[in-house]
Amino acid sequence: MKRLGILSGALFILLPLAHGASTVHPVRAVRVGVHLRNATPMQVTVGQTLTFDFVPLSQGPKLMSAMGGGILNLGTVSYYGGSTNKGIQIQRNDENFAVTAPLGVKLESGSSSSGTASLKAWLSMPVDPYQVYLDNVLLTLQPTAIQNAMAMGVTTHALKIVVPRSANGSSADFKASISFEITEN
Amino acid sequence: MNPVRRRLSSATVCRALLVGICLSSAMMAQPALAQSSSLSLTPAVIMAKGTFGQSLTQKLTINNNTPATFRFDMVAEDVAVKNGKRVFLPAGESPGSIAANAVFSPSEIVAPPHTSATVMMTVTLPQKTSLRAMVAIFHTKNVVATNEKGVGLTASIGTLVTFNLTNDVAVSIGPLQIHPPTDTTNLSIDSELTNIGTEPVLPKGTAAILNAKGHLVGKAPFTIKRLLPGEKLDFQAEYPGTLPAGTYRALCTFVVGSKIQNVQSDFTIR
Repeated sequence: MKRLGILSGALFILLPLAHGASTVHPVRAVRVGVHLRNATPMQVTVGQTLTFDFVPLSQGPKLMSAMGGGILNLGTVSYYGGSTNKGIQIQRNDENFAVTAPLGVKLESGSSSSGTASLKAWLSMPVDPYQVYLDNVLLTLQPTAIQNAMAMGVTTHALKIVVPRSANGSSADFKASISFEITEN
Repeated sequence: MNPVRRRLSSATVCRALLVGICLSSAMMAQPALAQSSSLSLTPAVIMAKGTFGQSLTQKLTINNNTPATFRFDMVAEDVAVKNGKRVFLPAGESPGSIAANAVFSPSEIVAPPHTSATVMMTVTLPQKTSLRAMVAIFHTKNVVATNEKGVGLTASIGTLVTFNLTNDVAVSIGPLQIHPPTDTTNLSIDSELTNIGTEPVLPKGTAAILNAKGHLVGKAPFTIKRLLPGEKLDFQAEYPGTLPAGTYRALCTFVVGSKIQNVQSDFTIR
């Protein structure tokens, strides 16, 4: 009896389901357009290695290794005294004097010795009241294009610091940090 | 005393203005750069070919061959061309910026001394853009600031990524400028090329030198340079050989993609 009850209950449940199923309209497969990113990979060709280094020049001041970069040793300079280090040029003006030193940069590209690179540079800290130029381009705290087609190999760059006559006391202590950025062309 | 000397002496000489580093014992202890201490990046250039909307994933490796630990932020910039020259623009500044869709993993990286570190870069191209290049930069956080008075130097390095997305490849070749040889220089042939298409190109050129009878007497390759759309650059071929006095013709051929373009000019060696 119990089994019959269960069975009849099951039938009772199933019958409505069967009835409902007969009223369900079959769903027609619908093509849904889905915007997908193109999954096909791009064809890629990669170049080789670009190597960058600061190098001392035979005609220039010493370049000391420090913190993965370098420190350019300009020695002691003064308006009348000139410089104690070789390779440093002094240009005297009425309101200021300029200290110019050659700086060596070496670029190597595994793909080509005749390639070029773009060079940008900027100051990592303010240097007021001084002015710093690299290859006659005034450096600021923002990256500035210095050369658009720097050759591979060792190239010489002119680092110029303009010292105002008004600099004295603590402002006569010059500190600067220059950042370079290189990208192969 | 000269008034000028009087005004300047106290501000400069007497106060011993020091620019740069004094030759102190502390500095003498630091070694000069006797051997290479470099940063290198692989690959330095990536050339991708595909269509708008596609993605590119590439591994970038920085090699720290220095005795210091380098810390980098990964930065992407778009490369545009204005007035025939490249300019680097912050990501998102340009319409259709490619750099804005660049993702680096990790976005900050540390490279201990004499080690390499790797970053995965994924770039997804916009559905529409006139840009065809970006740079992925290992932007150094290192600042060589010293207690001594001097100029610290540090470096960042970037990978150029170019994208060829259509078949619109075209280059305009300017007139040849021929510089005869001198006692200290070789014969050089120059031409300004302009990319007038919408895709980056790598023109490959050769200069053939013909004598008055039309016989080939020498050849010289032009330097290979990449031209982004709108960019113009001077290409040069240098012939190291010796040419007797006479009239010659330089016949220059440039291959750009599947196209071949010729330009020629006569010149005289005296």
